[in-house]
Amino acid sequence: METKKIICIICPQGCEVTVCGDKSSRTVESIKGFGCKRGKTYAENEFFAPVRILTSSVKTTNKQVPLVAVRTSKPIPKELLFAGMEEIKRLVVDKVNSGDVIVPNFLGTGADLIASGSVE
Amino acid sequence: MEEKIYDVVIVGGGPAGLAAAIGAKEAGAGDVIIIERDSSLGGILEQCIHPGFGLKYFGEELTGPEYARRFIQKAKECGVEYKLGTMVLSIGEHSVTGINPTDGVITIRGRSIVLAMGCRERTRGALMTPGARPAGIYTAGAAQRLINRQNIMVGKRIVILGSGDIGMIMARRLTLEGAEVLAVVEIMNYTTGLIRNRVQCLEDFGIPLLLSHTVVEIKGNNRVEGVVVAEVDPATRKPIPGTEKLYECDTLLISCGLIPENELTREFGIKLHPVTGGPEVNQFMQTEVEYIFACGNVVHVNDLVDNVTEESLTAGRSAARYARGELKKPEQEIRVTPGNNVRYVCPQRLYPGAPATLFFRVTEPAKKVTLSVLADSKPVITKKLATVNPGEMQRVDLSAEALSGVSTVLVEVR
Repeated sequence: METKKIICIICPQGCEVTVCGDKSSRTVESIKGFGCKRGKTYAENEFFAPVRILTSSVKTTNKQVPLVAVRTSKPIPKELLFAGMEEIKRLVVDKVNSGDVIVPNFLGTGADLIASGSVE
Repeated sequence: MEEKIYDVVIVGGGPAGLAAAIGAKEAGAGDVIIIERDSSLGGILEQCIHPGFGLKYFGEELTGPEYARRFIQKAKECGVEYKLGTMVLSIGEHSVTGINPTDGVITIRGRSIVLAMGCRERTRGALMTPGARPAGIYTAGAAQRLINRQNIMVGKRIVILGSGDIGMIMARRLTLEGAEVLAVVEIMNYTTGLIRNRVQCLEDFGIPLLLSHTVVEIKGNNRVEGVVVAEVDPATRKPIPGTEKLYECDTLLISCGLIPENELTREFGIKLHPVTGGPEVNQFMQTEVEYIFACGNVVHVNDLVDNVTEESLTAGRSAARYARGELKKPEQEIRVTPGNNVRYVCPQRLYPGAPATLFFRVTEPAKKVTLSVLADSKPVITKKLATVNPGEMQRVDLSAEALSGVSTVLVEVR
């Protein structure tokens, strides 16, 4: 059993939600402090498996535009952010358009690494 | 050859200028031109590669370049002209004078002008932080541009002064890029940026946030070698002697607020509001000079680009209307004033008998408060708010009826 305090970011209110539960069996023993339904769902997800969109930039071969912005197409597990940065560091792209897939199934997460800027 | 007269000339091609151009075209303007000093359109969004844009306007989470791209494409589709690499030198009577390497000095004439120059960062000099003047001191946005667009890392051990959104976002970005962020130091007793950023940029990475603290000295000869941080008295915001602590670092980032960039506005003779630092406008984003409109961070610093887009579309539409002979200055305008716990309200003046959206910021954070809007001392809106925070702009919509036959409007939070 584990207890965690989570600040809700769904709206500017910033409710402090206390979740007590078991991560391995995915059961919530108690949840307090949320102000709405969306906040409750957010806090539960944050408790079991927090996810984030990873954004960074990738080197290009273009001298005028040395970097192009990239992002994961959907949120990936929070604990993979630094592993993702290691992967991104190794990449070099030539010409890309915003939305192009650079790495499919990034780190096996099911999310793609996509360009969020363009290099012509 | 007869000189071309544009319906709308827009100064600045960031989110405000782009939305104003689109708004003008959609409202039926003929020739519309954007003048931009950078080498591309999009403004600051091009370096804001983090997500969180567009949640309100598009209902989806985009990065800065993605948000900008939608507007750049749309502006091009609706035939907006633009001049890049062109620095505007002055505003004149129905004209804008700029300079670029190809044309030299050029004057562009317009029936309406929209000011959309955005803002710039408060620097170390403006804060008057004592100590040495070594390399390694950056404003957070300058560091953001170097890292995200130019592939230049700014340092390895970093202290950030100010908990504005850009500072917190850079704390995360630097951490992901392998630097160590020792602390984010904030003179106020609350974070000045959004809660979302405090959680996802600082708490996610265990970056210490020191509230009611400030940097009292910068050390180092050639490069920053450390900064001295002291606790401040929350009431006076003066450092408390004996609380100084040295943080050994090679870089100091400053994220202590933004200043609307209004040299052009001031030189033309338009008065600037003492609190916002921008020109006063009415709900059509019209300044005191009836053919000059203004929108975005040049008017007041916004926390969300979505709001900038909304008010800039209004500015563009209004500029188009003025160009075809509407929206002449009314004989009398309604004066809007901030009341209890309200730092400022924008717009500051209102056209009578037209609906208006008021944006405002509170002075102090508070919970469970009542927002009241009084027209000629009579309440027209009373609303309960769960939380208010200086970092989060509030809005309230007023109907045309509420603004008929009144001469003053007061906004207060108790």
